[in-house]
Amino acid sequence: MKTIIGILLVATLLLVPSRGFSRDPFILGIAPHTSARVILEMYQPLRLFLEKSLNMPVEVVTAPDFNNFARRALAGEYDLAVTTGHQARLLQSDAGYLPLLTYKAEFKSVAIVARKGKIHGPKDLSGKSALGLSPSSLVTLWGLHWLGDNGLGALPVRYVSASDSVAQLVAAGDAAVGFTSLANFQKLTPELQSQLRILAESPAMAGRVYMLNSRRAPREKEIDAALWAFAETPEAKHYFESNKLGGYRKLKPQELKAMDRYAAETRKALLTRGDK
Amino acid sequence: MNLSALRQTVRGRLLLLAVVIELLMLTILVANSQRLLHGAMSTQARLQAEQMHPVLQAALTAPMAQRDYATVQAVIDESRSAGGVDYITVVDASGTRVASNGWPDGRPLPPRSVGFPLLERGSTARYDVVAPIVYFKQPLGTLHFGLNLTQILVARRTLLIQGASIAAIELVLSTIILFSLGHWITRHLTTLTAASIQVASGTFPPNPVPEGGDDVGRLGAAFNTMSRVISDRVRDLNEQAGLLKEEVARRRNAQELLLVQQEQLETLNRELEERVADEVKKNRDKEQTIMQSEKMASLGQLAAGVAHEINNPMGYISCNLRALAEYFDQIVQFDLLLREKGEREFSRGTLESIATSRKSLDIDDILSDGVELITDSLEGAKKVSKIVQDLKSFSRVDTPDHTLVELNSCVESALTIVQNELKYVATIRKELEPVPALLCHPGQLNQVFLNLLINAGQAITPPGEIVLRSWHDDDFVYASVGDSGEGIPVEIRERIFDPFFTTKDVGKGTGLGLSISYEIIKKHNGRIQVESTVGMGTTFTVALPRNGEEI
Repeated sequence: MKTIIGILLVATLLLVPSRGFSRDPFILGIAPHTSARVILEMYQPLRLFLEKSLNMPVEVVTAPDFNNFARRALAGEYDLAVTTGHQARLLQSDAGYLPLLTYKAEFKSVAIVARKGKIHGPKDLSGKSALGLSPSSLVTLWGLHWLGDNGLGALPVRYVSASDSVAQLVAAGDAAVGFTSLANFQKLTPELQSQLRILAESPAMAGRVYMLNSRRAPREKEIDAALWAFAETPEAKHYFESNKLGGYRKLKPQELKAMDRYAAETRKALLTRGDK
Repeated sequence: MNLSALRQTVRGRLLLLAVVIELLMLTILVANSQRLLHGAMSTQARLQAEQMHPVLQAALTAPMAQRDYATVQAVIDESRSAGGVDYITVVDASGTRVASNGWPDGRPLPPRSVGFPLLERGSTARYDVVAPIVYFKQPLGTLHFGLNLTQILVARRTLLIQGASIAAIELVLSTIILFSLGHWITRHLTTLTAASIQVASGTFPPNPVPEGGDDVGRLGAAFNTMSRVISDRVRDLNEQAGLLKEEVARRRNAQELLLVQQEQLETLNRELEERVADEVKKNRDKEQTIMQSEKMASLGQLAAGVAHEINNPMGYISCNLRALAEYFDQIVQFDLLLREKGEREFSRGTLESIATSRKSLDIDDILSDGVELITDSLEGAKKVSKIVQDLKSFSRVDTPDHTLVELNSCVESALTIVQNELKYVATIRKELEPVPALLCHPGQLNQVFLNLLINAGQAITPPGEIVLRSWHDDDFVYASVGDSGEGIPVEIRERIFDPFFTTKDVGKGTGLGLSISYEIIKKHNGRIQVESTVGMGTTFTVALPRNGEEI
């Protein structure tokens, strides 16, 4: 009887077509720091590499805005979330995500103004308006703190979805100041950059951090190894170089904890604001 | 309008041809328009589908990557509001329907359409598209949408109805115009036709046809000119035809005369050939008859010569035998006397010696047989004399050609010649009555009866019987030869007197015996008849007139 069952089991295994990947895909959630198309294009090399390494389908997804991204991440929709430091801290503290690595390049927020404008210092912003990305984005939060520190807490702030939109609107004079990351500013076209000027720059902060969902903790080492292996590929080097990210590095101790201030505001914003 | 009546006129045929061609061309035009329209609209629909797909994919890529399904729904709502699309549904990479417009939630999505079902009856008039939403090789989901082809179908139907209507109107107008044009063009042709009929019936010159400056008018003028020329030519031809007819009649008469003469010549030729053939036949028959007669005459002369040569020796043989008989009788008388005297006068020894010699010499046998031998010899000589006499009588060499003869003697003479042969096959029964003598050629009649007897003997399968009869009445003397042979079939009975006709085996008969006999009897003004019954026998009867002096 055991022999028969064994034969049937083997036959069943032989007859059932094997699949290269398991059924549930590995969701790679990227915070919407730029347009969805750019994100999809940017992370395709990593997606393909992870598919091969993990032997499972990998999907790159993003969200309409940072708040949505945070909510979905907190809801556990992503297996691996790549997001800013303050959201990474929020995911770590509130959803049990495991921090893996971040980029070598320093992440800084900048306040940009029109090069030929009349804004030469924070005091020139009085009575003007500001532009930011999502209210819960790190650059926007830093910008709001910067405005508050300069006595401009009441300055009206509008939010747009992409950093290049912030740059163009500021260059066009629709807003007096805009907040974006230094990396995104440096990726602007030379023509656009030539119309802008950095008014203020934040200290170095934790930039985009790779946070692993705790349900994938059993494969943490495998996934961490895959990420480091990817960093050695030509595609990754090209990616690091073109985005001036310098490669991966391990998080410094207490590096995420330094983001508690922004994480708390994000948590508060998620509770009190809408998606925008 | 009667179709068969139309087909009987050139105008009607042209009209029918034009209408048929136009109907055909219009059908082709409408069908081709339909085909082109279908092709163009199919291409347009395909292009629309091909254009919609990238547009929708471009619009849906970002919200699908962001999983912003509200935006996805808004995009497809916006897209469908423009019209031309029955439904749009987006399914994510896991197969979950994330946004839909125009398609019921619980209803399975249709498969991708293979072709454009514009010409299929009962089709949904919709082109279903299933296209993946992919960005940089990453499948984000699947886009389902259905193009509404109703406008295309309506346009095709409208084109068909309008095309058919225009074609019908065009056909009717063309028919009217062509009919009117044909009537206008051929209006003078009626007059021309009537004039042509007059020409055809031989009426020259026909009624003049209207002339004019246009084509039909010029045709009329040409016809009038032609009619006049034809009239002149016909008149000339009629005159020539009259002369030709006379010449033909003259030649025909001459030819018929020649034919009659030729027939006469042929008839004469045939008659001449028949006469020549007849004469040749007669000459050949005569030659045969003459040869046979000469043969018989030679046989008679031979028999007469032999008889004559035998008659003289037989005369003295008979005379000597009679003398020898008398002498022998005297020797017998002498021997008897000698024996009577010897017994009385001779000694016993002498008597014994004489007896011994008498015995050794067989004197007694000689004396007793000698009389008999002489008697037999005399009988034989008598028979030889009788035969010789009969031969002389049969050949009649010693009698003139025409002489008074009793017919029975002719029968007997002939029988004498063949009796020795006939005795082996038949018995001869003679019933000969005394008949008056006739003036005739006895040798020829002998030949007749000899032939009849020979034929009778050859007709008999032994044993048989031959009956010879003779009788007479006031006008004729009759002699008949009957046999109990096989008889003569009816079908050849009429031919037995023809020269060279024979049923005997080759070498046994010449076919001339009865023919010569017939001729002999005919020359004696008599007749020869035959009565025969197959299997019973045949009887030939010769009848000769008693006034034989006329021969």
